[in-house]
Amino acid sequence: MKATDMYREVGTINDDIIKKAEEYKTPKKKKAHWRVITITAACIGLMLCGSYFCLNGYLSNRGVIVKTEYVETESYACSSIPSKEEQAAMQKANGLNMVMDRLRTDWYSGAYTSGTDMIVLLCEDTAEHRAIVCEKMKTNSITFKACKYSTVYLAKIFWAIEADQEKMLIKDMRSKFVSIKDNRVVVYLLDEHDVDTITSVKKYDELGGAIEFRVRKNRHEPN
Amino acid sequence: MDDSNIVELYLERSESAIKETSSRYGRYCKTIAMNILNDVLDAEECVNDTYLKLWKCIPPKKPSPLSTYIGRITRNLSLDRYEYKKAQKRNSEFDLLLSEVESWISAPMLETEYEEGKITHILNEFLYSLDDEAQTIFVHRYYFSYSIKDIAKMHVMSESKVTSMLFRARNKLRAKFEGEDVKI
Repeated sequence: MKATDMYREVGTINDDIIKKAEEYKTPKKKKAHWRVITITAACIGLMLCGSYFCLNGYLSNRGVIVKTEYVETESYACSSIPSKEEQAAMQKANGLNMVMDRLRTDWYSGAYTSGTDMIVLLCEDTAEHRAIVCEKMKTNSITFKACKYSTVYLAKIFWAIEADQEKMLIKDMRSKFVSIKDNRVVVYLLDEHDVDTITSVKKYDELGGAIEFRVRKNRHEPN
Repeated sequence: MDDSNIVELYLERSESAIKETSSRYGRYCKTIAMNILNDVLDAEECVNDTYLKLWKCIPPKKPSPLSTYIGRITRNLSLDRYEYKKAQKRNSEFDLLLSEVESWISAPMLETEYEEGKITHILNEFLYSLDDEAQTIFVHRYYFSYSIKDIAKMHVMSESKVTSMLFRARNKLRAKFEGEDVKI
């Protein structure tokens, strides 16, 4: 038997064996080795980042206290009408706020009244800043209080939330306002457990603690 | 067009049978012929001879699967042509392959004639005993006559690994033939 005869004999092997070799395809896994490793690493990285931010968001939301305001629906609570003097003081405070808003200083935190007393909040309470305020008000009978956030900072948060609401990025919010007295942006939620809205709003508060969340509930409604 | 339709065309003696065979298996046949002959013109002639032989064989035959049937015809025709042209020129790659085939033929086998089908039976048994990769590499080398380089590329491994796998397979086959005490 010659080699060529044996070679011919190899030609008589079973069809299924030939077919298997015929249909053999070059594996691609070895070529894509590094690509697979890179993609896998990227996926793991994304998962870790994602879970970190989710966890972070969850934990930060856990620290949020949502205050409940009970509303009387069966009777209307009436506040007393301010006197002429009180109204005049309020107008002065509003005037100061408008003037200082235009200056956009980062140390002024707003003015409000208590009765006829003028109270001015300063987040940088210095003699120089007090002097500027007194000069604008043309009086020295002002009570100064130190606080943390400037009106510029609070307004910035307020308008950022407003913009998100216009873009419909934040939908489930009842209302919001800048409370000068509390030195906070007050946000009224529809649902006290609405983590999405809390997270969406809180991201604008870079310093932290400048937003107060509240929900309104009817005292006579069952929970 | 699938295999059964092509066979139908041969049975109907339709001339488009060859055209369809060529479009489906032309490249396949040419690869086999080129692996043995290493000459484009010779390979093309062999492929044409394959179509002619198919035309003569079908009917009465109705091969299934058609691919292995065509492959075998091309292989045998290419080998015939190789032997015919061997005196004139040499195909070093195929000579190397034949020397490898010779290595599993033991000395007594050279002098002996085997009963028909016996060798095929042993070869089949041997191939089924191999793992999938070794089996495929063996068939790629000794049936389709691919070069070591091509096989290494196909299987994404080094040439030395293919060579050593084939070496082990040949030794195993040789031992099997010796163990079977085959009479040729």
